[in-house]
Amino acid sequence: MIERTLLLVKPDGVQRGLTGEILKRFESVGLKIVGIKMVWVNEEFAAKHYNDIKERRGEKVFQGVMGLLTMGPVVAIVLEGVDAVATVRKICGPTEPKAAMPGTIRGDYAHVSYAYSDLVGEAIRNIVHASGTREEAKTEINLWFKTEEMHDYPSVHDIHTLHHKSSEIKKMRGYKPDGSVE
Amino acid sequence: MKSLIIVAPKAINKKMLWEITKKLEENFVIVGYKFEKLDINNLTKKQAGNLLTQEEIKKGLLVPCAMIIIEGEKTIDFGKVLKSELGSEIVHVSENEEVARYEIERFFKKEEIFEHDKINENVFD
Repeated sequence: MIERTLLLVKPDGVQRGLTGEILKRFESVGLKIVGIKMVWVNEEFAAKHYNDIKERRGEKVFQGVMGLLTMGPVVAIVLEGVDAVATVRKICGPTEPKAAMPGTIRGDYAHVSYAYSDLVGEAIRNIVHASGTREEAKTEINLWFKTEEMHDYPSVHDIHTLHHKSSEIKKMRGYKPDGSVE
Repeated sequence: MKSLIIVAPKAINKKMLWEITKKLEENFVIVGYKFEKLDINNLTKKQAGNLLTQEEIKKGLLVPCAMIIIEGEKTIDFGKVLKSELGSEIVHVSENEEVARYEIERFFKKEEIFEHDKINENVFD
């Protein structure tokens, strides 16, 4: 039930200075930030991330999304919470900004359609990427983050959002009652 | 000019990371960003005392900090204002240019820093 998912603020989002606004939405709903890093990936890495796009959507789309992901630094974030994969997808909105409702990241910070991006021959700039399924989340987190780059820690939101008692959190996180770590 | 901003555990716990990130990216380009449990050996006593509560130090620094490198003009001055506004228990900022260079080198590898531009600012170049 409590799971982790990967969110990328893609180069278009980073360059527009939207990282803070995007973080706001996830911090506000009480998802826990487990890892964040800025990283500029090369084509080889991007191809691993988009390994199924060529099959699913064709060569042209593949080249387009590869170009967008590698054009600048990305802010990669691992988020943890109840049904985190679905929750994060809901907050991002659908892939096509035109279809995304106001209140979602894509609905608030983009508006273009597939038809338009086809016309100009570019992949759609939709600011963020979020893992689609639990399996995808696992694969993507492993690809983007080393274990030591992710952090388990107690937070006030464990109490407010997840209704844990503070003694339970300590037990859950492996802290002994005296505060030391097991 | 680059400068280092450390967002302390207390701010992470208060869910203020977005707010600080937004302030930084509105004024500067963020060229490095990471999320780490602070190694107390990497801090002076004063830094540790400011950023972490006695309890956190005793527990072995359980909550991670965000470390952000900003680049632009007057990053040091901006940092000082930010610190006076939010408090030294919320952010640590590099005190001067020399300290900034030293801190960035201490916490970041070269390959973790990325020179790039914001789209908004170079449209007409």
